[in-house]
Amino acid sequence: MIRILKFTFLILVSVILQNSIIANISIFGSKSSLPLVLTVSIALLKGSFQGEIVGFFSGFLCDLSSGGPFIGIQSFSLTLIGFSVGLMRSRFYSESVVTQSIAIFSATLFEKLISLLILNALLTGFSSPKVRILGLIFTAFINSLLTIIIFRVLAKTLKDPTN
Amino acid sequence: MSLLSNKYKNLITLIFLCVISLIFSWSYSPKYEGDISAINEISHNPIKSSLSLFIVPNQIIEHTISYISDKMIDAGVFIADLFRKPRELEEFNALRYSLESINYQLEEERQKTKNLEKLWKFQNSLIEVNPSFDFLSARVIAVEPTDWFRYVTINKGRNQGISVDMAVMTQAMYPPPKSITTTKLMTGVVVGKISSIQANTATVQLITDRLSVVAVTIGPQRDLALLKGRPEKEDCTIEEVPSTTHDMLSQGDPVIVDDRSSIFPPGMLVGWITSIEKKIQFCHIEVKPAFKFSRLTDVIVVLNSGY
Repeated sequence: MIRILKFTFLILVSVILQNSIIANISIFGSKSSLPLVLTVSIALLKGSFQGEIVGFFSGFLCDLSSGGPFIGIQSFSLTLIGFSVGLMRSRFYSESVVTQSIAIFSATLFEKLISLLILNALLTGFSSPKVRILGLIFTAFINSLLTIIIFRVLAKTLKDPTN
Repeated sequence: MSLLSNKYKNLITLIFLCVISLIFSWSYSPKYEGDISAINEISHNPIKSSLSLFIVPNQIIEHTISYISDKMIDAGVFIADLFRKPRELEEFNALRYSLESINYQLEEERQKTKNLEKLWKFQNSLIEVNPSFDFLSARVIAVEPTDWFRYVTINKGRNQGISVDMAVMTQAMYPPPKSITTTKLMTGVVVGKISSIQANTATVQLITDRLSVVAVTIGPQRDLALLKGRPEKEDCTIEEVPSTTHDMLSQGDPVIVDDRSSIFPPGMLVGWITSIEKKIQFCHIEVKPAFKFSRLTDVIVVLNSGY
């Protein structure tokens, strides 16, 4: 129960910060994503199940707070990312900065790719969404830095007392 | 066995959540086929609107931010109390801190008053030239969290008389590249329109949004054109302008709301032409909006627009 409350609190905080602060900082047309960073960090810490659940709900809240007419795009991509990164946890040493950086870097690219594919399929008669490579690389780099910090904070906050 | 069942549990949850997300995604697909009368309906997703009735992140954001900032100030005072200096310095420091704090507050208030004064002057100038319109000023409290769209949330909603499709404007933030003969309505610039409302907040679709389409006029002959948003470059484009119009257009020409627009007051400034690319039959025009997205803090809603 306490764990559910902690996850709910973290999801709400990440979406609120994303809407109010992070979204104001755009680098070459790309913005960092705190819900993505949270999903990857939880998946690396707790595994696939928690990763996909946190990914789904943070993505869903993000979709709802977005002004665009769509829902489900962020929740779909973050659920997949939460699951996939969680699988990495059993194969790699998740406490390593290298693992975290590679995980978030590929997750950022994957998230943009999925969103691009879905939006291109849904938008008919409008200009196709585009991504600026430089912005994407900068965003992935900033996400990596955020993940390294947030992973450490979460590792202490979500520590299982039974371990 | 337990590991296997865990794997299945993860997979089943993944499939379930992905299917729900995809059903939501594919439940709504906006189509635009060049029909001006259908433009207003493009960004209205009925499923999302009904879900927003139950979950209102924007209102949570508004209340939470003010709550958190209040609590942070309280925490700051509490921490300052904990680290108080010995008694002989205490009174002096307390006085100094309170003076500093009053100073900060005054500076903050001065800035707010300055902004409000500017907005009030702007609103009055709007009323002078457009006596038939009612205006309401609002503050931007949240911005679009994703890269794909351009929306902002303002701190006024249904309770303050705002409804969907009302025009939103602000002061021009760029000097005109060309001196233009000022027409009657050119005091403010178009920012966007209200796309959804909640009790005390509203979402504004900016003209740079991908789904935004505005009927505008360009050139000396006031040719009708459709202005579409391009969020990647924070600007707008006009396509399918007949090449015959090309010779009459030049960089720096103003782009103005057309009389046939069903949302925006006609004659309002939208932006400036920055480039014209001639193709075989049509030419492609790039338009720079007259406002800057990153400096958009206060806006004005035209209450009796969207007719």
